[in-house]
Amino acid sequence: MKRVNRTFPLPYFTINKNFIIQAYSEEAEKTFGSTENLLDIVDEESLPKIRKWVVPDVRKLTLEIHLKPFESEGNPLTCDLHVNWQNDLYAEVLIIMKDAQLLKVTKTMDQLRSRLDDTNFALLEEKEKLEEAIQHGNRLSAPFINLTCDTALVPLFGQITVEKMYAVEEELLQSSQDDEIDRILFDFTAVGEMDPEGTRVLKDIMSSLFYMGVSVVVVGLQPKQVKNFHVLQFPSQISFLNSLQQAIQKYCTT
Amino acid sequence: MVMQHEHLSQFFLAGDEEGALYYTKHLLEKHPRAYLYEDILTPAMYYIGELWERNEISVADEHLATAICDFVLSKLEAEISNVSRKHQKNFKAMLFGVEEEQHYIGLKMVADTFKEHGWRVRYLGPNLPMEHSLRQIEKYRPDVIGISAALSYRLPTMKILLERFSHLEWKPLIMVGGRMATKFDLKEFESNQVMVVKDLSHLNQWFNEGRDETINETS
Repeated sequence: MKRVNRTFPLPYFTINKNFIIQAYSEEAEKTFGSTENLLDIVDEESLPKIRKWVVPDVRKLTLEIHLKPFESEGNPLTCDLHVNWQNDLYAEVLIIMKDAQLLKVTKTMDQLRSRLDDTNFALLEEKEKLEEAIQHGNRLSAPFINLTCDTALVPLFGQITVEKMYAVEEELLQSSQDDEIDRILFDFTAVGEMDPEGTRVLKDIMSSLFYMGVSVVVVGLQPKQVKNFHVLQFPSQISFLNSLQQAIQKYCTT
Repeated sequence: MVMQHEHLSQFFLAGDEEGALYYTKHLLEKHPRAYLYEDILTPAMYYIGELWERNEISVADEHLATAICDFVLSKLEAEISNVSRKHQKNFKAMLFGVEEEQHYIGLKMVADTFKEHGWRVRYLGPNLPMEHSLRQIEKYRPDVIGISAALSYRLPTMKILLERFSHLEWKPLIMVGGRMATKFDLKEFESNQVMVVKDLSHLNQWFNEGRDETINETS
């Protein structure tokens, strides 16, 4: 192995067919130290590529490969390998590192991506907080109020949605069994829209209550809501009363 | 006939995000999501690596393709019909790529797979500094910690992470994945707390079979 006399301002090697270095330039020594085999400085992922392409059959070629990371870096370095076979035995190899511009663009793209990830993450956290708040609100939308020892009032609030109905279902069924409740008044005065799906779940809850031996009374239903009830064919055992006042007079004064 | 994954990779390489999205959505009409990830997206990205090896494309092309693939994944993820609270399980997973690691497409598909199974997921992206990951894990207390790495240079860091995570008091299951898990034999890492996940189908298999036992064992 000898230092070539010509001064190339670039890392330059002469190699044989087995990638053994025959000669190298000053720059090559500065950049890569002294190595015996060209493959020693190449990243392992690039080895198949270099073995496939750097052969005497391909006389002249430019190949993009990765080099092993330098000490301070954690990532393989991209470079262009210019190969020229002088004959079937020896090749001249010139290594030109990729333009810093490419690195800069790559880094910027990575930064942008991680910015987006962070934003996404922050949004996700907010979304989870919001969902919890909604869930909490839902659970509070059907309080179970004991009026007398056998009658309870459940005023429903806001829109009747599937989530809300599922959120109150368990609590409602539980409370109706805890005490000696015979009758539950569902008050619709504060109900706005009724989702078809949500109403269906509500119907199921009312049916369950009925099968569990509680009579269900619906009060304060507004005219526009009546047709939702009709469409879904609520159990016929449910009774209806115009207002809460009537209901209280009827069931709570003895 | 051009294979579906090759077709998709052409969109990626051309930087055609609309085309790529349209094509994936078209495939999703006929196939489940897991098939799209395992049998089309992953092979498409491997195919792009192959093209580079064949000296047909450059690293810059690869970066562009990755960005487009990332975009498509983000779009698809946003369109997963939200698993409603009633069906959401209370399992939590935290996923990230080790420090310095830049490969993340696979990890993103893993995050999506967890979400599809009703898990809560924190996807922290690639190149997460060690201290940061520890802080996040203490705060979030996930049932599963997924660590991804592609290159062999990450092995030392991976070892340190596994060592540290194995001392967490609530004993989460630690999954090691990424191309590293396919290329190297990581058996020495495996224990009843550490599992090497070779690919997405391996993960799906775990979801279908082993999850309950594994969770019970470790938490």
